[in-house]
Amino acid sequence: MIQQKSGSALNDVTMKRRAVYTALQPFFDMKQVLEALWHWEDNYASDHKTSIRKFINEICVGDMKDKANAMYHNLMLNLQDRNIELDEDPYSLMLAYRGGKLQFAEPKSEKLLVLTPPMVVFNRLLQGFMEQLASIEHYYEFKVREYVGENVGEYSHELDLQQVNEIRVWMKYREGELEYNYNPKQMSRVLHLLYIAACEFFGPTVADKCLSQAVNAVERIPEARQFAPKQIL
Amino acid sequence: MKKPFTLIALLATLPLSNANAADTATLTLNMDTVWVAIAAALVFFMQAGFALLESGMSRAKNSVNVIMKNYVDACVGSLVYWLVGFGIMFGINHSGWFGEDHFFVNVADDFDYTFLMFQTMFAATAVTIASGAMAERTHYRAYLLGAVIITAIIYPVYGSWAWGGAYGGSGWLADMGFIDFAGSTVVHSVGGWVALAGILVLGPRMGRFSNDGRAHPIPGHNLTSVALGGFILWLGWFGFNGGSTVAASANIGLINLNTHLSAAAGAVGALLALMAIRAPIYMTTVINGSIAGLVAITAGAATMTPPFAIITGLVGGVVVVAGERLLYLLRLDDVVGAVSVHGFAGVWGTLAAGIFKHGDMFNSTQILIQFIGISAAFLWTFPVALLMYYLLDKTVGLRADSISEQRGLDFAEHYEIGYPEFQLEKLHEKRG
Repeated sequence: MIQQKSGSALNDVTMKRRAVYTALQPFFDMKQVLEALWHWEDNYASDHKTSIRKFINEICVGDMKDKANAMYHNLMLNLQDRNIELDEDPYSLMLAYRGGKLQFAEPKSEKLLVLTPPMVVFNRLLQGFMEQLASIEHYYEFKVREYVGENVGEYSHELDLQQVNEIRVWMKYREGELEYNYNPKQMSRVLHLLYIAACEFFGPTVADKCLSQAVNAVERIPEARQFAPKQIL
Repeated sequence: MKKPFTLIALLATLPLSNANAADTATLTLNMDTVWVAIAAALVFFMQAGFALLESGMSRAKNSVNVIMKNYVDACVGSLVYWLVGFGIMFGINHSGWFGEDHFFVNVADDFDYTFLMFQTMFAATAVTIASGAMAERTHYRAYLLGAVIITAIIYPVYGSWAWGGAYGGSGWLADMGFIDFAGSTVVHSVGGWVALAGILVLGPRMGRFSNDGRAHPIPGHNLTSVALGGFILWLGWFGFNGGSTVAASANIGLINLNTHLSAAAGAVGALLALMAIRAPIYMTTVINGSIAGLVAITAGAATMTPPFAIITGLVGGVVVVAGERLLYLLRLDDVVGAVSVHGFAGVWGTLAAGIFKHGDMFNSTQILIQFIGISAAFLWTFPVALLMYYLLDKTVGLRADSISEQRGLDFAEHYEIGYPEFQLEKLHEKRG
């Protein structure tokens, strides 16, 4: 990650490309990001930032339409705020992709049309845990989400890229549901990362208490009879 | 209260009036045996005190693990000490550095069994000190392997220097005139330095100290049991110090009076220190103060008069507060304060035994000898324990993984939980 050196707004193509690359990663897998980058490079690289909305609308199709606003704000923030750390220039990666030198595995997980009981339990547990933390101290709850977003990539051997990105986005905005299908071990890993973050920013006593209260609340929902939350702790 | 004792004294002397010297010797031996055997039982009871105190200072999800460490290290330690440790510590000591016989004691004199029993309890005490400091994040098997090495090598080797040569020869520290009556250094500082090495290799519990420099307190789950543990340790210490005469001798009264006064002064010392730094008067720290008083007086209980025992205990209590503060500043996570209570207070107590030795106070030569003994304990124990825990960490793994810390070691290590009514009954899928 490299700190931006320029002034208040980005006007160099390389810097803009880095801003787009950094902004899109939480929302797409790498193949989709590179496709979108080429789309931007071919059509919008020399345009003014007012064309950003159009670009976003073009790449957000299907389910991704719901994420268009979040993605737009993310990208605008990257283009305007010089304090945001941007990822390295992806141009060489883009060339490699276009030259057929990059191979991507097919996505392992697919989005669920209807959330299964384990996924309902998992979502409620995540939401409940975060709500408990937020009720104590908003600032550190934000830091917890930031920590999880930054570190969830370390579990890439157990989570696939879509899941990692989905968690990053969820941690950033704490809105909606996780829609990919996670197995119990993956759920356990995500919750554990959240617990580690809670220990770091709130201390183990608060982390234990909040997790316990979240579990107690989730145990009361009907889905918990089919999938006990304790299975993923 | 006076009459029964007078009656007992009369009954005891009646047979003596007609007894020959052999009978007197037998009676003396029997009385010594009875007292040392009772004292050994009292010292064993200290294990219960340690268990309650340490589990009370830990979180509920780790309480079974802490108890299991205390329970089983006494078992493993006793077997290993009988097998190897006792011989190294008390066997004939030609070199002054270690004993050479009395391994796996089988046939011996009657009093040898008593002495072995008493010393086994001391070894069990030394080995259990580290468990509290290292609580809540240590792999059980690795901890027990450490306990084996402590009772087989670390504790008895140093013990042979200070106390060795019960069956011939002598330890080099004993030859110098090192005073450590019941083990402020031999038992407690050694245990404390092992604990220090353990917490250095382990690192703090998850979340105890944040990367941004903040410390998160992790209060124990049952302060009532901490207090009960403190009382039990105090009671057991009358056997620990009083029994160290290894005879039913007349000075047991002074020894146990000094023990009691020093413990009381230790609690007051800790209390005053907390008040001086305007900290809340933490119950756990005050109890640790009393235990520090007990640790401190252990070296000089037989060679001090009561006023100096009080000073020893009082300073011991202050040392604990300062020591806990020091460890906090160094970001070392000692769950029960074992390093301060046993390590630092043991150092002070051993020095105090030299400073306040009755009839030879403030003798600089004696103080220097005490200092040499204290330094030798650290220089032997700490590096060896550090190496031991480092190797255990690299081989079998000393630190429990973070998911085990989240679930609690009760479940992760033993598949049991201490408080099923309040804890989650099924934290993860059953193994096997």
